[in-house]
Amino acid sequence: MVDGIHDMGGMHGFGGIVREENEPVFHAEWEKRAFGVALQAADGVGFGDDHLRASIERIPADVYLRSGYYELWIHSIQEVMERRGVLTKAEIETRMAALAEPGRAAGGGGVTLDEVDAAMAAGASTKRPEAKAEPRFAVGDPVLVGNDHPAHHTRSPRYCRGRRGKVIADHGVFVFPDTNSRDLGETRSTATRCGSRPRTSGARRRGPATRSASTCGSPTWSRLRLRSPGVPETCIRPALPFLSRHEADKAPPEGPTARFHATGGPISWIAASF
Amino acid sequence: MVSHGRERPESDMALRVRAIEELLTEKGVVDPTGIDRLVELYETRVGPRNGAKVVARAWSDPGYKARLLENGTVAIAELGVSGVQGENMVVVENTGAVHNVVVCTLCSCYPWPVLGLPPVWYKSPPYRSRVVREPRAVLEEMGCPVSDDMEVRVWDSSAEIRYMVLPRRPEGADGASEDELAGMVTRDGMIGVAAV
Repeated sequence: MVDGIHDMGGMHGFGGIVREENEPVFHAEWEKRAFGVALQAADGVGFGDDHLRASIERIPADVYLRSGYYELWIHSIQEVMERRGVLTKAEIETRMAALAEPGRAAGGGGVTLDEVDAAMAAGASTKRPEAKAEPRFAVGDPVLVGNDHPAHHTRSPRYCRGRRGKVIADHGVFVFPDTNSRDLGETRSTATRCGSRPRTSGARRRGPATRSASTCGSPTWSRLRLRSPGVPETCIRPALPFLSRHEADKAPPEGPTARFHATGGPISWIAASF
Repeated sequence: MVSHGRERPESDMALRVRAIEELLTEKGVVDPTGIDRLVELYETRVGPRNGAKVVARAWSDPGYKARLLENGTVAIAELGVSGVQGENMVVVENTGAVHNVVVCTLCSCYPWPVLGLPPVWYKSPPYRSRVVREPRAVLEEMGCPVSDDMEVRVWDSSAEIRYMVLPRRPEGADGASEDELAGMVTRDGMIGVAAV
């Protein structure tokens, strides 16, 4: 649900920023449990942020806006669990009714505290250093953000689409959320069933990438100039490209001091060769 | 994104969370003892003091600062700080010419190991929508005006890379120890919405 309410960068109408003095980490006991359940369930069932985010993005806009942060988490946990066949809606409703009766307590388990600490300190990186993918862009390359609007999860925010920019960093190879969130694999190469095909690297092309690519991974960026014919192209997926006002050939609308880089996560976020 | 509690009163959500936790416990997916520990970790041990330690070290040790800006993940791990939602860290330095500020417009990405869990305002629609459109106005409103001769860089986290701002060392802190320096660093300074 790429054009959903979650993609709010650049929108108007949300009012002033409200800061809470001495804000607690959690605002209710159930928020603590929701936080822990989400982390453990992700580990226990085998899903990640990509899946949770895709699920949160499917929440209707009006519900999204009036829900607290951990309410969104619980919404998505419940949805992912139902889709994975771990829980059913009826099961949850029945248990809620039972819990409304007094005198119930949760059971115990087998994990040790050291195991929890070690797992959290180790993290779960989505970087894939072992993956071999020739970068499609180099630092300094001018780029254009494709004006794509796929119906699935993507990391290309609306406010960047159609903008030109410049690559400023190469962060390496990461899992590709657009496919991972749909259980189509971590890379575009494992998602070939949805229609990507080898591309001639020498082809002249300007503007958004080909249709075949967009049905699969919807590459956000396309090269303005192909650098080295003969090298297989790689889908590089920046989470957040630059805005066009960073371009030297355009006068910044608010004067030279107003330009800003909206640089995002993996500037060269290489999903896979294709 | 504050819950108003009308459409979905907390008691209903509390009940739902309890039901899900119980069911997942019975199925062996989650473990209440482990959940207790996770909550304890993020309420007491993983928070902005970790980031402040990193900043103070960078202010005190030019070699460390260079390593931090070169590879944030590795340099932060030197101080024993690492983990979930901070596996790939990039540290951006505020200077006399550049002010950096971090956001996640699509969601709530935030560098947990160094800053803990994000405050509500960071996850809220006003901040997420506005800071990429009018960063100077947002910074001014939050008490961190940036002069017009400085460049503002907005870093939209979007998950894989997590950003932390290295604030400028406050003037007049020349004789301060590393611990004293760490005491001057705020969470908001490391997000980029406060000077230090």
